[in-house]
Amino acid sequence: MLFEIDGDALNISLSMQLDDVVKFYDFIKSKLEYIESINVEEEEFATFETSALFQLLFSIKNSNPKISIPIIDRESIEFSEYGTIKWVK
Amino acid sequence: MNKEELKKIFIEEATEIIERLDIQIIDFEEDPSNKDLLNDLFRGVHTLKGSANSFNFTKLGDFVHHFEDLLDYHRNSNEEISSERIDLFLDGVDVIKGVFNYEMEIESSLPSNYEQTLEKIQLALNKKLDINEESRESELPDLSKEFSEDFTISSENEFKDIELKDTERAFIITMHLDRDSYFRGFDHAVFFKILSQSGRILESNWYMGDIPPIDKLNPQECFIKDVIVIFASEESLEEIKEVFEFLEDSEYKVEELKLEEDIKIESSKEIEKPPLSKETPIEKSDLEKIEKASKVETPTKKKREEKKSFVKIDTKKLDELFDSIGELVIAQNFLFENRAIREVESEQVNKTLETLSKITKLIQNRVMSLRMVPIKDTFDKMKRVVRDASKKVDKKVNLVVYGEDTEIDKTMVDSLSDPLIHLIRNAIDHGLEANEDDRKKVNKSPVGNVTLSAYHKGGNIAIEIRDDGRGIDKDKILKKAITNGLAREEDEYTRGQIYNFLMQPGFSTAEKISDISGRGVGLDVVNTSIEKLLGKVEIESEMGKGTSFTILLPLTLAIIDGMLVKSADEIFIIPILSILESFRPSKKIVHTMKSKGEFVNLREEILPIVRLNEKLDLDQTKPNPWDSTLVCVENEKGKFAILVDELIGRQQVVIKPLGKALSRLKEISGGAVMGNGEIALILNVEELH
Repeated sequence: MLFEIDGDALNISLSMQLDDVVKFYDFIKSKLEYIESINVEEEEFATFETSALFQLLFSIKNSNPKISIPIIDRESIEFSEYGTIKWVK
Repeated sequence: MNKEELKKIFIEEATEIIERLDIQIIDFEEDPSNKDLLNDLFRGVHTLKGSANSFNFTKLGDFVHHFEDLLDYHRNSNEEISSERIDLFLDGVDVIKGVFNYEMEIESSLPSNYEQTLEKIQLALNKKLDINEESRESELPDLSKEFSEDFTISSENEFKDIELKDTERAFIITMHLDRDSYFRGFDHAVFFKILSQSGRILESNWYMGDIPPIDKLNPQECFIKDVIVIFASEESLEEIKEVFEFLEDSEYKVEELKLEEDIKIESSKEIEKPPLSKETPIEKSDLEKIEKASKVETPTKKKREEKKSFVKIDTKKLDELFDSIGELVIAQNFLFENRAIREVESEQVNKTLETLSKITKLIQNRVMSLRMVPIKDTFDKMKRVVRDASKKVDKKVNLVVYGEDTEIDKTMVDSLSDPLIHLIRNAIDHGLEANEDDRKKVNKSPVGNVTLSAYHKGGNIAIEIRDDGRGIDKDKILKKAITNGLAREEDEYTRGQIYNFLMQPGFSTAEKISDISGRGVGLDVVNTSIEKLLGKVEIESEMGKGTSFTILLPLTLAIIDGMLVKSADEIFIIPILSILESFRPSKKIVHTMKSKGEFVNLREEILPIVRLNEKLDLDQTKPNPWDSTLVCVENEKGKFAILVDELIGRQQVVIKPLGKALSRLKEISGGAVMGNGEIALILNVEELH
C-alpha cells in the first residue's frame, strides 16, 4: 500500500518511488477539495525513496492550505536514518 | 559551537546584510540596467530569509519571503523599474529593519507600516503573477554557483550544536539539483542513502519556498531549491565529494565545517582598491583624481574581482592589542628619557635604541591601521538620506561623493552617522534654494548639488559636506544671536564666531520648521557628537554660492598628537588639532581692559588671554604675558590664547581615562603617562574659555 484513502484522510507511505509519486499526483490533483489530511505512519520515519514526494506534499499544501499534512506542517521531523529534516518554507 | 553562538553570528551577518540593502537599492536605481546589482540584492535577501527562518525569526522570514519574491520577479523580467517601485523596495527595507529590531526585542511592536507594506508587495506580486513561466525560465540567470558559496557561509549558522566523535569530521553539503535531475536519475533520496552508508546525517535544511501549486507542478521535475546537509563522517573531503561526482559542478558543494570558535576565516570576493595615501594630505584640487579613482572602484562598475582573505577578530582582542601597544609606546618613552641610558656613550646602544624606536613606530602604525575602515560604508548610507530628504522637500539633488576610501577609526564610524545625516538634511532643506526657479534666477543648474568628501588634512581626517545653495546670511544669524542673548550688539564678531552661533543649543534661523531639519535642535547636537570624538566642526559659507561644514577628526581616538606645555610646574597636553599657533607676545600687543580681562592683538585680531594656572587654580602667580608663551587655540566660541610658562614639545600620547574624581573637571578630557612615568592631563579646549 503506497497510498490509500480512509474517509477524509489519505494515508501514504514514504517508500513511494518517483513513478508512484506520479501516480499519486494523478490521483490527488482532482481530489484536493475532499481530502482533510494526509498522514504518514511515524514508524516510517527512517528513510524516504524520493524527494519528489515531499515537493508534491508542499505543492498540495500550497494549493489547499486547509489540508492537514503533519509531516510538512511541523517545522522539523526526526528520521532515524537521516537525522533532523527541517523545512524552510 | 552552540546555538547561542551561532545566533550571535547570524545577528552579525543579518545586520550587515540589512545595512547594505538600501544602499544596493539606490545603486540599482542609479544603474537600472545592471542586473548584477539586483542579483546581489536578491542574494542578500535570500540568505537573510533562510537564516531568519532557521532562528525562528518567523515574522522577519515571512516578510523577507514576500520581498524576495518581488525582487525575484524583477530580476527575471525586463520590465522597467519605476521610481514608485524603488520607493516600495526602500519601504520594504525600512520594515525589514523594524521587524529585525522587533525580533531582537529592541522594539516592542512591529513597525506601523508592516501590514501596509506587505499588502503593497503582495498586490504588486499579484499583478505580476500572469507572467509567462516559459519566458521567465529562459531569462533566469544562473545564480546557483553564487548561491552555493553563500549557502556554505550562511548555512553554518543554520544548524544546532554539532557533536562529533573523535574520529569524525563535519561536512556541509549543499545540493542544488537542476530541474531535470529526476529525469537524469538523481534524487536527494539517492544521495541521502549513499551518505548514510558512509557516515551520519545530522541535520538537513530543505528550502521548499519555490514549490508551485499542483496545477503548475510537474511531479517529475525538481522544484526543491536547495538542500543543505550537515554530515559527520570519518571519510575525507575528497571521498565525500566522490558521492556527487556525477552531478554538475553547479549542483553541489561539499565543504568541511570548521568549528573554531573565535576566528572564522573566509575568502570573500572584494574589489581590489588602489590604496590612497593615508599620510599625504590631499588638497581639494586633487579631489578630481580621487573621483576618477573612486569611479573605477564603485560597485556598480566593478571589474572581475580578486580574491582577498579576511580574518574576523573579536573587537575585544583588538582593544587589548591597542592597549598593549599604548603600553609599549609609554615604555619606549621611559627608556628614551632614562638619564642613565642617555648618558651611555655607545654607538651600539644608540643604534639599538634607534632601531627599537623605528620598530615601535612601525608596529604602532600597523596596529592602528587595524582599527581603520574605509568611510565608504558610511557614505553609502547617505545616498538613502539624500534620496529621502530630496523627495520630502521636493528638491532635485545630485549627491557627489569623493574620497570614500579614506579610512577612519572604526570606533568613530557609528558615532559619525547621525551628525552626517543631520548635516546632509540641513544642506538639502536649508542650504539649497527653495525650488528650481530660484536656482535658475541666479544662473544655477536646476538640480542642487551636495558634495560629500573625505580627505586627510594636516594629520587629521576631514569630512566635508558642501552644498551649492544660497549660503548663510551672517547678518541674520548675528541678529538672531543678539535676540537670543548669545551675542551683544556692541561687540564685534568674526565671520567664524558668527557661524559658530549656529552650533549653539536651540539656535535656528529657519523660518519654517520642517521634520527634515530646522527644529532648533541638531547642529548643537552635531557639534557635541563631534566633540565627543575629539573633533571639531568648521563652517565656511559664501552668499549665493553655498556652504560647507567640515568635520575634523583625529586619526584615532587612542593616541593623539599633543603639545606638552608647562604651567605652575605641572605638565599639560593640548591636542594639536586645536592649536592654531603659539608665540611669545611683545609687550605692546598685550592689553588689559577693565572688567573684561587681558587681550592680545594678533595681526589685528583681538584674542582674549586665558591664564592656565588661574583657570585650573594651580597657583596665584601672575607672570607677564611677554615673559610667557601664548598658545592660540580655537573652540566653538572663537579663538583665544592660553598663557603657559613654556612649551615643552610635540609628542604622541596614549590617552588614558581619568578616575571618577578627575573626570568631573570639565577642563580636562583625559590623562597620559609621560616618558618619565609622570601623569600629564589633557586639556579640553572647549571648556577653557
